[in-house]
Amino acid sequence: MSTFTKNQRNLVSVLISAALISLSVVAAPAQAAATGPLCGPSTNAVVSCGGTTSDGAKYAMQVPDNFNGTVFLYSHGYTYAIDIPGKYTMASVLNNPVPGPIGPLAPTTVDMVAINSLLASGYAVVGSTFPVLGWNVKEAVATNVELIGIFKKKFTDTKKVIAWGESLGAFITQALAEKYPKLIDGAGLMCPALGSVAAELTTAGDFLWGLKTMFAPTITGRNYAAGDAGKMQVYTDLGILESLGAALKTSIGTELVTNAPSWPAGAPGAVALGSVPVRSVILYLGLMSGIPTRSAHLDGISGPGAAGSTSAFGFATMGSPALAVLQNGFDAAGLAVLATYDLEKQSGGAFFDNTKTDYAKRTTVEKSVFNAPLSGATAIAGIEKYLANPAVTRWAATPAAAAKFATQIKHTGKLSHPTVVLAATEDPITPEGNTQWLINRQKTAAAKAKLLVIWNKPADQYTTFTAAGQPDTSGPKANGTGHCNFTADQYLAVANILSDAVESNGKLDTGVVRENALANATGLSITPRTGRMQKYYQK
Amino acid sequence: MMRLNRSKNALTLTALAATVAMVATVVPAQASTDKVGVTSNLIKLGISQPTDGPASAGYNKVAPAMKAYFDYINANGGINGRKIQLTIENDGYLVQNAVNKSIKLVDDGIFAFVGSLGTANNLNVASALDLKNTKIPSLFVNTGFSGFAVKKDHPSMFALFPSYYMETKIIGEYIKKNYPNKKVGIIYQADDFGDDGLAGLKQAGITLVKEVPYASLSQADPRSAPAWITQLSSAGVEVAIMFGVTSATGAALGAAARAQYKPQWILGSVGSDVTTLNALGISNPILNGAITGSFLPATTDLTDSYIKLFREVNTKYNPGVAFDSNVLAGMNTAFVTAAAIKAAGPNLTRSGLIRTIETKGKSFLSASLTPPTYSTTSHAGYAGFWLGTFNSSGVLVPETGKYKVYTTDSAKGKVVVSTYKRPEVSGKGLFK
Repeated sequence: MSTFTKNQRNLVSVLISAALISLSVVAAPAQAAATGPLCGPSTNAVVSCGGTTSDGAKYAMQVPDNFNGTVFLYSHGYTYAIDIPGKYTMASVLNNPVPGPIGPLAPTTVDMVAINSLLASGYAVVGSTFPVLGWNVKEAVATNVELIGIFKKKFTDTKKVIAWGESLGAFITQALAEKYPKLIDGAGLMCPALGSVAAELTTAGDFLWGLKTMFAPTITGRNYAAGDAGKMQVYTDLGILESLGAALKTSIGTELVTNAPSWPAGAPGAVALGSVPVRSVILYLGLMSGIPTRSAHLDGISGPGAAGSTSAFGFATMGSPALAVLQNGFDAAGLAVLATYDLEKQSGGAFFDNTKTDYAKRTTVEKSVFNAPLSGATAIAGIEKYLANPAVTRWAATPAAAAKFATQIKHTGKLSHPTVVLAATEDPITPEGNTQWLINRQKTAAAKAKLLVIWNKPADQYTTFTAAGQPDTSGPKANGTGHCNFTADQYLAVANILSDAVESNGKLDTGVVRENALANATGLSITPRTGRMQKYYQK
Repeated sequence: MMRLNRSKNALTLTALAATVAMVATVVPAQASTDKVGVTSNLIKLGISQPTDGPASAGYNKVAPAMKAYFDYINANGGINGRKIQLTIENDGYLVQNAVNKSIKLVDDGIFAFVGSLGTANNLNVASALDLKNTKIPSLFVNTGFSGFAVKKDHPSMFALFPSYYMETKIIGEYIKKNYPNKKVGIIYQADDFGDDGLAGLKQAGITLVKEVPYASLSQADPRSAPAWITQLSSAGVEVAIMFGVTSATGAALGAAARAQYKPQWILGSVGSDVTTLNALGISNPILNGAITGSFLPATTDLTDSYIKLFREVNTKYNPGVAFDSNVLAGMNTAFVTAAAIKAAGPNLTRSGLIRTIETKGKSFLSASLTPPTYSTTSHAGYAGFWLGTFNSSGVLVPETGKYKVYTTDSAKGKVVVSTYKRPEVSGKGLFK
């Protein structure tokens, strides 16, 4: 087996969907009162400005000399509310406002093409750090409201505001659009989290609970302690996940060779399920949680050897779905640890609750579809019996914390503006069910006409294999997989369609503009499809 | 308005004009999806099934046989002036690929799926393509899973084969009558397919002294089948039911022969195609005496008007392919499809076709020895089997020398001998 080392090493950074950028802005003092904007001289026909909103968020503005009156307000995605020694500091985010999407490899590699293309075409861009990190919808919406005012005051020829954002930033954008519809003219929701934070975190939490229950009882996973003790629990959990990911990868690799179960040492699930392959258990955990069965490097079709050979068929059937869940699921599990810690602090205690979750009922269709890689009905029944065993501890919420958690901002799904969604069908962090939720909320023809969903879909086959016949996970993520894994051209397709719409009385084009935008960005599709809803909604 | 473009992608006026022209051409006023895939002279159908790879044995003959029958119809003028175009996509029997290929078929503008193969694949496609709400017809799926007959779950899907549940209810009654004091055991695929079969046996009141479930595809492991046989023989099983796909059936029969284990074999119809078993190394002497069932006439029955017609069509439009039960199943599926299209009339729509099958499907003629059972509340297809015994030449001989067809349902209904008198094929099997 080739390794997932790259993903595991980047486990904590892969979730940082908005990253760090060094703009030539004039430094603004870090203080609680609004400052600025302070602008530098025009450089390369662009004026860069910086400042601080009244809540302390730093912002960056870039305005071209030929400003056409439309500004793109960018909201970045989820950033951790905790420092991770040697890997991540909150200060690095809070000191570096991002005015637009900078690519999936940020902060390692910053792709300025989308921002520069907007500027070159006469559009302005603006974005902030937000005053706090973590799940910060309420604070971010307030910052954005203030920032729009600051921008319009400074650049009085502003005519249109397009709000757009990625992941949590899309959630913030939709919340802004719903609460302050008069402040913006269009919305771009990219790799969106939508609906509610509970729907978002249930997928990740279920998978993390499954890992703890089956393989790693020392995972804390929830109900983190206050103060430094809680931070240490988080760091420990991340370390356990990193080790566990490697161990499970080895187990599955061994099983695919020996065709015999190979449980990692100390796994509690092995006592009752020792005759069931680990790959089947991992796959089941993914299916019950709603984790996609295609991942950045595993397509569910390809296998080593000649197309149609027994080796290719065997890997595609038995190995690929489980390995894809492993690759996707550990991204989700990392999110579960960090976001749970963050939201427990906000809520005052444990909010995740699976005491009433019927995992067997959730997987009615999946059990049939993936019966073979799940090792048949007998193995499936064994897994479900284990998960439903009263002796297997479920996670119960603290009532007060659950109530506080429930007050987090939720969406209604109402659209008042032209709205363009860009969503990957195999996103492991914000699954396609988020987008489907928004689609389902549009009941009338008028409402539906306000929404354009652009699906970012993977090719049928993209898995490659090493000379040793192992899946090669060293290359870039396939289009349509990963979280916020978009090219500059794909971002620009969203911008193009939205800019046309706000300049066309809010009407989304259905002809040449849309066709051209999509033609310039490969891997996208507007063919209607039905995304799989998150398991949260199957309660 | 200023356009947002990377300079390398900047559109020229020429390109823009071309795009405008293209859009004007490819975006016709399509009022709804109800008539997608139908023109004045063409009906586009699609099927996803394995045409190569380790899981394709036998199954890869089904779609070409369907196409051959449609070619025969097309060569004689089509149906209501329309020819039938069948696009065959190779899914390699992989659930993800079945979805990808089915999406491709939809993107290519098919009117309906027809004969798509496999329980898991069809379930995955139904879910991923949301057939329940999109109402894209999926006609006469190539599986006996009884769930596809449940209209509330699959309103645009239609079963054709008798369900596995019906099949084993009939087998169960046969065992009670013919082997009342024998120890009965079963090897079955531990999924919807096998579970359906197991449930039917239990409904028939069969007591199984040994149940040997196996995970789908585990038959590829050479250690699997000998272990199944050991379990049956150790339990003293005298009547052994093999309810799996052909590759598993072949593995079990081969392992039993090597172990000198000779129970009375009763094979599920899915895994009993003789030419495929022969290709897997199961010789006719090994098969000799094994019992199996069929809802269609024997492939060797040249006195049957349908078999005679299908063999002629196969010779002309599917040259070089041996006429076996997979070819027969494919031809029959195409035949029923043609009947449904004809019955739906010249104004062919998806919703109209579904409604037609529900309201008129019971009267569709085909080679089956029991009629379809479609109604406005059920999408169940045929409901009966006859049983026979393989002789030393691999010919399936009916139990009483002629077809004694048993019929039942997928619930608690009794197994009775069918009184249905199937009409002979008429009009040369063309739907003029």
